[in-house]
Amino acid sequence: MTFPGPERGSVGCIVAALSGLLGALGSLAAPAVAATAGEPVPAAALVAVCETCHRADGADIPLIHGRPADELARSLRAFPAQADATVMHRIAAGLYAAEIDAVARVLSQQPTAAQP
Amino acid sequence: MKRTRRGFARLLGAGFAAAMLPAPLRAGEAKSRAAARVVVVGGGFGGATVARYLKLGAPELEVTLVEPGDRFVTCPMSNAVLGGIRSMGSITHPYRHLAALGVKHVRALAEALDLDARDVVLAGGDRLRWDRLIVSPGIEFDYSAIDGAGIDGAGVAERLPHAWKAGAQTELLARKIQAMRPGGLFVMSIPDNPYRCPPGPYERASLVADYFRQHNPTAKILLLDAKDSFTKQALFEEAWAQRYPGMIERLAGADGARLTGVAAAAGSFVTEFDEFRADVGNLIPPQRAPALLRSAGLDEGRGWCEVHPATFESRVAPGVHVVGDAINANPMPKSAFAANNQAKACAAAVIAALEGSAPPPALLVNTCYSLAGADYGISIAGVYRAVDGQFVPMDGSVGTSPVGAPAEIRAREARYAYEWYEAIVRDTFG
Repeated sequence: MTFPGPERGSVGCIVAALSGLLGALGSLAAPAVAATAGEPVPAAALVAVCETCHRADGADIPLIHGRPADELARSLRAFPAQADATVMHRIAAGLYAAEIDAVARVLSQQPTAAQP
Repeated sequence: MKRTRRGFARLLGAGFAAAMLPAPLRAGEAKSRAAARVVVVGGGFGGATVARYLKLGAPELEVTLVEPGDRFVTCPMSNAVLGGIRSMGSITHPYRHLAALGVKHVRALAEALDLDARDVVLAGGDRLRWDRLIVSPGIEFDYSAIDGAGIDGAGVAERLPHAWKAGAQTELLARKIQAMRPGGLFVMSIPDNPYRCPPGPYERASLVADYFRQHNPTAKILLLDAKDSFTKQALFEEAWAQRYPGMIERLAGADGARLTGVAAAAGSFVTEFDEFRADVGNLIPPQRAPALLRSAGLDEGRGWCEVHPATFESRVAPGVHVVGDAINANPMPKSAFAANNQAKACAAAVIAALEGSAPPPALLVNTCYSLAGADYGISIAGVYRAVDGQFVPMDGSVGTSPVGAPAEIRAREARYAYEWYEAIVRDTFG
């Protein structure tokens, strides 16, 4: 489900407010979800999150450093529709479009070699 | 490592562009800024990650890690040790790579936090002054609601190991599992939420069943669960029916399975309605933030610490940050991955605070693989952001592997699980 820009924002605000209310009611309340929530995260912080798993030395977890930016961004945008993608379809669903472009650009500029 | 340093420096903005240069070139410049003293208490996934990313992001900081041991035994993959598919050595990781990065490792136990003096009080009385403190001490067991367990459960943990902090307890429980009589009964008591690693008990049941299937095929496993339902439940139950039919029985809270006491000498678990005699007993007690935090009032008497989600700064102690299992980050689970990602966000926020700038917005991801067999993996993931002082999951990001997936999908997720482990360990401990 996608929302046009302004509506996305207002949904986020409502959800955020709801979330605050639920939080005040206690930890047993069902968590709210947000379509948007807050500022885009700087690309290098996103890279640090990616590198929890993608450390350029796996056989099944793919190398993402030094790959073309458009290829990375295309993959990230396609993930949410792929149900058999282990965890990436869920993680990609949590990123903003601007974050996908930014993290793809930064990753594409990094060396591909495995790090010690 | 080089790549991470460069990447993380960019997060800190143009003012930290010099951090992209190798550390020796920056030595003269670093002197123009006061080297702030940042003390990190606890060397698990939260503490080690925060120490490492502080040094990667701001090499001039004086970062001290307070942790008694010289190595860390991870809870992730410790169930695989119980299942006989991994060694203790493969889940034990030294701190020496952190020291090589310039983290000062003080091998001592933190006994108290003196919030007024801004000191960590070490066992023996030495004190460490902080400009910023990050506490990531994990969990403490709370045996107080279990009759016959004593105040601290010390005797009980020998007879009915928790193995919920990996190390000697893992080895003890593994030996008991291997020595269990043919056709014996393994009983695991599982606490109510919240506790460390929500899917952990069910992964453990799976891998112990996998061990029994090969070495003790008439053995039985009984789960006494305080809860009515649990995470990845349909996925685990599917795996149990396929792989270990008839071996695992679970009683839920609604069945009266909440633990009320033990007769540890007899190896018995006492629940609301019944008593169960175990050949091998595994008592996973209720948990709370460790006394180090609670005696400083950081849990406000509630058992877990509340923090500002954007910075992980305590809501009651300015300048003191708490990450990992000791905080209430609901709906983020108490997991190694959550602690690692919280630690990265916390490191960025601490560096920003020392610079006098606003904390950058943070993305917090959780990814947990569980093994239901050596070649049978299932996962859960979620993306969270800090919004209005709350941890908010992003729409469509939280969910698990599909039920009913073919064996090749489960085998692929098991391979991901093993690679996930190697990656997060390197990211955390260097």
